[in-house]
Amino acid sequence: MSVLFRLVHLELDPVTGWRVPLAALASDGRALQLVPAPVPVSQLGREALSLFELLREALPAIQSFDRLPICMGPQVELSEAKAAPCNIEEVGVWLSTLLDRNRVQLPAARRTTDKTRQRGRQFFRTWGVHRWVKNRFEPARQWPTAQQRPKGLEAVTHWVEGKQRILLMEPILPGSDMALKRIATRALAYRETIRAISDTTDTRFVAYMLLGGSQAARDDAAGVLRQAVHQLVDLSVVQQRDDFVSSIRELGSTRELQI
Amino acid sequence: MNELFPRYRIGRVRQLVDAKAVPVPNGANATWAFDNENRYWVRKRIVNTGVESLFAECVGWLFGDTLGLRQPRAALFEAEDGWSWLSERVPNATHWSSELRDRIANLDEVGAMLALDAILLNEDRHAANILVQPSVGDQVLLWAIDCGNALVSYPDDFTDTQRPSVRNHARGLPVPALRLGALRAAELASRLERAKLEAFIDEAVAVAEEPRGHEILELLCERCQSAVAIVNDHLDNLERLF
Repeated sequence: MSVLFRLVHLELDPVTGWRVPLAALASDGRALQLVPAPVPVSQLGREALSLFELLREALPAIQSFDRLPICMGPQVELSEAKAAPCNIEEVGVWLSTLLDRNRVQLPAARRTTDKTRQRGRQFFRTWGVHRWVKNRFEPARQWPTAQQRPKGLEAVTHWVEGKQRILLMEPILPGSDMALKRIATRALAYRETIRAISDTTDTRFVAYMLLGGSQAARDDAAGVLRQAVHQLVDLSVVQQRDDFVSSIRELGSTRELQI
Repeated sequence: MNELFPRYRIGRVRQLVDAKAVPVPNGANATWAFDNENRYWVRKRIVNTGVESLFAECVGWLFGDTLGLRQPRAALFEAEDGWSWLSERVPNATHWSSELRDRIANLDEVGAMLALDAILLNEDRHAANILVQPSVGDQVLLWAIDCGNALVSYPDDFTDTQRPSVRNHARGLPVPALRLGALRAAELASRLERAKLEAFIDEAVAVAEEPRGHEILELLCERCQSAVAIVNDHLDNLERLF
């Protein structure tokens, strides 16, 4: 008889999707088997660990393979049902091994990595606009007197300055959820700051999505970023890429003419 | 946030990005969202919940804040499709379960929650509307969320004699231990000045555009004057239930 299993996850961050397995459920259609996951002591902070332990105590309340009881709360989710390998003898033992092996899904890269930054720089070089693109837009330096500038507003990786316009440009490597969320938050903070400063310079925050990653990852990234940035440029779309390059060239040129 | 809008006690959020849906049943299509200050919110759009719900959330939050409830920070966000009610995410939280009865660290705050429900006629205090957050030792802190179904938005039902039904109430709360905090909150409510209650209603009307705001204010004043009796009755009903 085939056995289906699901993982019960404790989701610690609803935006990045960072989660740890809390238990596994198996069902052969007649009986339900529940295997608690080991406590990921070294991976969780004190508060999250307390919640993990609280939920572990509540696990016996799970009586259905398809539905969690209310008491598990808003941070616990069931994974999709999958078939267990048919050649295993003891499902519980197999699930224990599985849980131990998948103890924690670590978040993806926490920062826009050097690799992403370098790839962005390489893109500008490839398309012949690198001479106008500067590294690191530092708000404290560029907006030194702005009262509205929030403390700790992080730098933007690349930027180009025109006569009356500034493009802040952040490279995106699809598939890096943590970096994505961080960039989206930063874009929102910039948009709010730009709105509050309201000087004569038209400053816009652009995210440009580098090549690579699955289509699903690209779609996910676009879905989040489109809400946060002034403009999202998908470099895999020829027209968008060309328009982006043209606007950098145009902006940089106006600055040169001014000088 | 509030510095920009000193008139209002409920803050406004300017920039917001939606994430996925909050995985709870009957969640009014709530989604997780985050803002430009990296705060996480539960977002409920008025187009999904209705104007009455927004009005009740506003009044409930303001009143709860005054009574000393433990409730998440609240804010409002205006988008093209109208207002959204934002309730800050309580991290590391689960829902109420009666097995936690003897581990509650904030009994008085939970008592104040029952008082609020009684006064505003909130009949929606089921287990999923009480969040549980682990606290020091083996204790837990209870948070009150979601006042959107309180009958304060419906002046025809919100009469001075009405008591909330406890049919859907979360089971297993230690009502005798909550009575002191609940009655303290009720006494506080009975002493609230009319101007204070008017400020609650005005702030809610400003976003929810409730045309019968004045009528609701009168009813709320009457209920506050009878708060101790109303809360006592509610506690009695809950004790019978458990």
